[in-house]
Amino acid sequence: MKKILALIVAMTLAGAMSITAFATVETNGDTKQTKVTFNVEPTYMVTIPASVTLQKVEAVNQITYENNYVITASAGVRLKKNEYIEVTVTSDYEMETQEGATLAYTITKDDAPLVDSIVAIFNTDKAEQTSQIHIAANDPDYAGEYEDKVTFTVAVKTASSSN
Amino acid sequence: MKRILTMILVITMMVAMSATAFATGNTVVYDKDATSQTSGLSVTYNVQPTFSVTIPASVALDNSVIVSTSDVVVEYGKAVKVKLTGTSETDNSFVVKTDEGATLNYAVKRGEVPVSVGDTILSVTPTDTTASVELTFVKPESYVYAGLYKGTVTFTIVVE
Repeated sequence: MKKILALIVAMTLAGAMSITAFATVETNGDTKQTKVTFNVEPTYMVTIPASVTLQKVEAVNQITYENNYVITASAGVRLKKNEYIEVTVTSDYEMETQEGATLAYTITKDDAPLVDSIVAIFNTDKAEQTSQIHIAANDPDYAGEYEDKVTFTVAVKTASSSN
Repeated sequence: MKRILTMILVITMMVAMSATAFATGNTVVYDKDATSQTSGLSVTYNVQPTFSVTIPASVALDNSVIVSTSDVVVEYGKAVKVKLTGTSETDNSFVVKTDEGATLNYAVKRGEVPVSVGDTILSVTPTDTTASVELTFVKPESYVYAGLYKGTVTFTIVVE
């Protein structure tokens, strides 16, 4: 009987002591972070006219066919910082009639030949932006309707240095 | 002798079964002439502070988050407080940035009231019925550049 009582006492004491073992948690001054994000999608609209007709220009002892061509970026171009829109042109610079006659022409910008075929550069801006190029051809030998297709490529580029 | 042993056992069991109630070690000596005997017992119970605080890991501007506490057990007269203590900027301004370097200012509001760095946004005692606060992260009215703007705000939890 004594042994049983002693065993009960020992078990009871052991049980009581485990309850007094509390873990201490240091929470005061603990910091947590919330990530704040905001995603702004790029937006832009570039308008490239579908066609241009060269007009006859008569000067002293010289007849040429020329016209201006305007590429427009609508108001509200929004790109990432250091990004810009680059419009380039691809052409063989030669018009042709259905009969096979050919006529060379040039594309210039600001009275200068194109650099790297770039015809327009647009940046992030709330206002409308335009770029004017000039297309010109000499007076052809043959009559006829001369045509050529020019391909414009619009691309978003990243500036090498920060603005 | 059996009575003494029985008494010791009973006292020992009482002490043990009371869990966190400990006797200070008083000894009761059997007095055959006494009609009753007394012994003092110091009772203590240590309640550790416990609580949970939920702080959302992320928020997109033009949205709200709920900062909340639950199961708050702290000392009488104290409260669990959540403070907005900093941002990702060195000057603690509310600014988000893109990888390209564009920046935007934003605001944090509790209802219509702007929150500043250092403000306590939530203070909860064990008897409080309200244990949460809604914070709105307000985007700027206009912005120039596109991109994914990122930043952080830091909350500090204190009991005071």
